[in-house]
Amino acid sequence: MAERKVVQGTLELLILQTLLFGPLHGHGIARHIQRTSEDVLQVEHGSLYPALARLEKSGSITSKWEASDRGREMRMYRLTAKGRKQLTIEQSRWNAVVRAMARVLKPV
Amino acid sequence: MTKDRDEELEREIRSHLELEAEERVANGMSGQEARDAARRAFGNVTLTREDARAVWTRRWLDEIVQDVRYACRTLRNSPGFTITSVLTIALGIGANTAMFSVVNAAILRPLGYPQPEQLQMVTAGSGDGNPGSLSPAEYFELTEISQSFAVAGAFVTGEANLSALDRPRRTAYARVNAEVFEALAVAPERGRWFRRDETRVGGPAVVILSHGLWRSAFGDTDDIIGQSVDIDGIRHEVIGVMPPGFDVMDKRAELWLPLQLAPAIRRFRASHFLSVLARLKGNVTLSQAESELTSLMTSWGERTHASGHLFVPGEHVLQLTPMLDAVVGPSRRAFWLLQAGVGLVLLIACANLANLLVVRAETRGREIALRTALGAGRRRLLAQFVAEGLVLLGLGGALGLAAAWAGIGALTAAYPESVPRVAGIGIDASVLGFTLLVSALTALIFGLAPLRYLSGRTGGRLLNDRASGATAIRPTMRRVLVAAEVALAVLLVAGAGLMVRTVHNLMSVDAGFDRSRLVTFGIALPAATYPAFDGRVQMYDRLLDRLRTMPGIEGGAAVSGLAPQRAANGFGTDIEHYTPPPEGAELVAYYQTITNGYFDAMRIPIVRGRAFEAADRIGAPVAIVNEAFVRTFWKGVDPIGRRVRPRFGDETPWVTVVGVAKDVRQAGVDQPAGTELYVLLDQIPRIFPAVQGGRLGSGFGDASMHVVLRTNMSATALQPSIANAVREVDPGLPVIRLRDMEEVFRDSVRRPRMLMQFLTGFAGLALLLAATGTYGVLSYMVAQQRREIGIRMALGAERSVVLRAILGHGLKLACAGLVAGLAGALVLTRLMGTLLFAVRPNDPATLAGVAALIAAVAAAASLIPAFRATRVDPLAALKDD
Repeated sequence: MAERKVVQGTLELLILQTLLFGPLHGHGIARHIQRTSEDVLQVEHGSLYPALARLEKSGSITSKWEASDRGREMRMYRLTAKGRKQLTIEQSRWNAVVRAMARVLKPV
Repeated sequence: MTKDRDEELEREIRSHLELEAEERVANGMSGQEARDAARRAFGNVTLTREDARAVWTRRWLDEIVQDVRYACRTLRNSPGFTITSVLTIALGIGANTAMFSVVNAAILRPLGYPQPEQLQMVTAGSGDGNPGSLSPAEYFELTEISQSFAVAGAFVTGEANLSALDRPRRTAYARVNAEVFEALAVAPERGRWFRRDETRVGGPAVVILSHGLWRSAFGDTDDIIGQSVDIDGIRHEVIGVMPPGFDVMDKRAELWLPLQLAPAIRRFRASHFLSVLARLKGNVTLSQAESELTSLMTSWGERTHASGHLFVPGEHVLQLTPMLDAVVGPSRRAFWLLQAGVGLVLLIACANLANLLVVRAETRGREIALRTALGAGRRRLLAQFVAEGLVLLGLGGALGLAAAWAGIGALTAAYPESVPRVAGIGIDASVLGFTLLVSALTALIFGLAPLRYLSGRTGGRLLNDRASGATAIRPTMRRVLVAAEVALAVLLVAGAGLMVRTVHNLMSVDAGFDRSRLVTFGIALPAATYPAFDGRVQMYDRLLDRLRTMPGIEGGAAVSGLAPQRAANGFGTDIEHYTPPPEGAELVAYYQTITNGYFDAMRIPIVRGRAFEAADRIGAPVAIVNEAFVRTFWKGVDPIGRRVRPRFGDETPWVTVVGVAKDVRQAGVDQPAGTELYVLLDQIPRIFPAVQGGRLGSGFGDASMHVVLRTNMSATALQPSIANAVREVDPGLPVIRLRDMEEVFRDSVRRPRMLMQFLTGFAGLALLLAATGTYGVLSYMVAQQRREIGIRMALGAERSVVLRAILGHGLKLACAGLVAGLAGALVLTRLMGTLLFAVRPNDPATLAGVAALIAAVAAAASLIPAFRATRVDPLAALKDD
């Protein structure tokens, strides 16, 4: 239970970060995370959509069906003001964890 | 909404898979291969969908389902607790629902007529609040001069012999004029109303049936209209059937006959026998109509050119009573009292349940502490208790509703005469609403206690406490609950005690005659078989002769109105040596027609003069008056030989008083004896010349009389021989309501008796619950203090000391409740004032009895736990720890 929570939190942070560059659909988000992480982070597509739903429910993102550049009708997700704020908070929290991890893993 | 979201998600996942597949195709995969791979990469589609959906659906709903399921499991594991609680809730909710159904149907539900608030009963009273009937003259004058009423109808009620399907039956009827139906404004289910010309003298013999009678006596045949039925030996044509539940003034009439008043009857200004029902005009309020009546009364004589017996403000007045008040007025307070009583029982039951739940919470202290320590949130724990409560409440509520359903049937079967508007009782929307409200209240009251208890503790503390340690539990709340139960029980027992006293007082009132070993039944002579007065008298002679010679019969006579339940039938009377007040003649309350031997059979003492004698049957008109008559009209005058004259037509002769009989309480044992005049049946045609032969005579009782028999046998034992005697005299006559006089008496006080029985029942329940509560608290206390008791006993404490300590605890609890309850009773029993007879609401003897009873019950409930305490084995108690 506790494990899933960590994954969830991370995934949500990654989604928010991805949407910072502009609106994107679910597949695009997954693909973007995978590419920018140089395939290190494989997004479990199955957990992507619940995460998107949670973010939308909490008001961090909104969604809208739009025609994509290839003419396909896609559900595009967009960062809200609240999501931006959320992203900054999550980022600093994550950085704190990373620094702490680094200190633990590389003792002086 | 959810459905849209589902579809969108479906579509989104589909396009995701398509994009994925397209990418793979671009990388060189074949179509099918790419699609499969895309699906594989995505993972479990269904699970994803469910997870995403779960974000939007409300989590707590799932949690509640979970909690309820868990609650069911835990409850199944403690069946004793569960059954007790469910039964207690079912009892509380069931009793309250049943009682409220009655209250709702009898008192709250508006009458089933259009604009019922416009319907008013018009009564003539003497200003003391007792409504009386109007005389025909007054009724006609009212309809002629009053401007406030759209229509005013008159009716009388009674019973008739009806032959239907070849079976004679006694049927309640209402004789109404067409205006009554116009006022009520309810269309017949079939056929038509009476026309106005049909309810004038000389009108046709027509009848309208009630729906119930049509179904029961005529098998709801479709062609009933136009058929003829035999009522008191006269053929009547059926012209209509009224819809189900139709009634007037709760008389439960099954036949509607035309009231055909002869114009001559207008002369009898002082003869009051009409019930008058009026409908206010649409724009007239009750107070406007009342002020019109008041102003009319001051000039009534001028307007109607009438003299004598006129309305006098303050003495003889006209009054309006809204019809609903007139129907339910007398029983309203009684039923609210019962509702309050049953509500108290529910409160006690709730307190008991709260107690049970607290105990449960405490005994589960370790479990809870453990789970709290393992990370269960307090909110979730509380939710679980709520779920348990809801399950109990749901089961109990459903059971209670079923019980209420059965209870209503039992109630109306047991007390058909005591509940007004009994036909409409059932479980309807407002009753269900009430039940829900009661259930919610129940949940609140019995759910609150353990919740408060729980939220005041932390898991850590509970875990640190030793469950067997004496200090683990703060028992204050449980004690308060039990004391509250006792206090509420005191209220109920006090109310029941007062009703017991009331019924006892009513039954021991000296009604003026000896009711033991007295049997009575009614005889009604059909006008068709007995058209003439002489035939009726001969019939009674033959019947009484036969009855008197039967074995076991010491004496017998017939009387027109049977005490103690007869209605006043008085009218104006001229009285020698008495100067009536300026307006009109004086009213004698009861005109009683009797046969020879009546005073003997009833054991009514003649205090002066003599009783009727055989010679009086053919002699000059004589009468016997009662003591109240002498007190009222002839104070200081020797009544024997004085004369009176009923004001009933012009030829009425003067009648000589030959004796004074002891007062008899005619209208009820709780009513003072009124002025009374006895005349001999044989002399009726001489004293009331206007009566002879005509149907008017029925008002004087010669067509329908009560036989009273002094006997050493019971009504049941006499039944066959009485039936035989009546059959020998006339095979067509039914014996009506053959009963012991004791039963007539009990019946005359049926409302207080009903109140007494119910309140006693409620009080018994309350005592039982309070006793269980006390027992529970003490048992628990003993269990908790086992170690302490053991130590004390090991140190040499006497068993009697331990016993006394526990008993003392119980009595202290009861005492606290008793004091609070008595204080409440002093205030609340005052509301019962009008329902009591010869006992005051704060009657010290009753309250002392209540206190003694409660103390005894508390002591009894404490005894077992106290004894158990003395049995504690010091060694075992110490080893346990």
